[in-house]
Amino acid sequence: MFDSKRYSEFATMSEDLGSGTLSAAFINAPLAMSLHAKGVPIKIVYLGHRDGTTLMVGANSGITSFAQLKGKKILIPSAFSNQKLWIARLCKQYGIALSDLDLRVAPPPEMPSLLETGSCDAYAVGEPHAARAEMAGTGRVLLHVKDSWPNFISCVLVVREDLMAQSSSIVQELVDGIAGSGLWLEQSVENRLSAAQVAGKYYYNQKPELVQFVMQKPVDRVRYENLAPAKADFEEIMDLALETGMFTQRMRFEEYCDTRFSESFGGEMLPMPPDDGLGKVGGVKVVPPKPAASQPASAPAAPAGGGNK
Amino acid sequence: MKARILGGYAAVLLLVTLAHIWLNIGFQPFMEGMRDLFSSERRQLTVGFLPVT
Repeated sequence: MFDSKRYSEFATMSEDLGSGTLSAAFINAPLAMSLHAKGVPIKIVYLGHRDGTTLMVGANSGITSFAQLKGKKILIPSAFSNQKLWIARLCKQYGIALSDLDLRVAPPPEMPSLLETGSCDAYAVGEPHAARAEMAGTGRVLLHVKDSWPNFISCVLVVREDLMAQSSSIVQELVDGIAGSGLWLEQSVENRLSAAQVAGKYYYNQKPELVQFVMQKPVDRVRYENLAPAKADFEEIMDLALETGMFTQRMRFEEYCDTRFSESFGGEMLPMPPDDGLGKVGGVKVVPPKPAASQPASAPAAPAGGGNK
Repeated sequence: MKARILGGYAAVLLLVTLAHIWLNIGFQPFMEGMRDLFSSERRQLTVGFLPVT
């Protein structure tokens, strides 16, 4: 019933959402809002997770406070990312102008090596690319987003409006599945570890040990509860996006969010079925990404650079 | 007489079909399949994602 399609960049995903070849996706919250503003007929119906973003510095850099990053080069995954808004929020908190930082966009998978080679001083990214540097011993956690911006939203589930109109039941089933599996993940560390095994092997194409590290060190590094889109959270994102110039016009929450599916979730937990060893877990078939060469380098609807789910 | 034979064949065929559905498919999955076949509702959805949180 549900297939997942792995992308290597947001630009292609945005293009597919716009053309209608893709009807649902996990994308960064500000990018989703931006696409809606540009006329792509999508709405945010649910969140992918809470928190799960980390600000990393070099292991031997001597940087122990955000204030020390003034004038430094910091990598973010996209110009339309919540990671950028987090940095802007921290700047306000520490009395630093955002323009005092040298913010650069870079693909998340390359960030650990760019930090290691000294090409940047820090990077803010969604997991597991922070944990990669931490596990390798080349990076050190300066801040987990959960400790400075609790209930941080990174990725959201967007669905095309034509799908919502024609087949609302399948959208409800998807939302119920995400919400129910989130409840199961939060039930125990064992559940998190077994899900990490499957996610690493079939979905992330990463060593399961890395995903397991993310899921338990600390255990609230990424959270999968309280995923209904809340107006107050998105109003804060909108405020920061307007302040930083990411958006030029305010949008009402109801314009880009549809909460009927999250409101209809009945609270049923959905345990992960056993791994069948074929890349088909719980009826979800994994479709590998197309070779990079066959993908367009950029799409008009999305900002350049990498991104996070 | 001919009608009885034909009716008998039809009844046996129906019973064999029902037994096949019961044993090899299950009535509930069969009904869901039929509903998907004749419904205009979409039952397949691909969800895009990037392998990063």
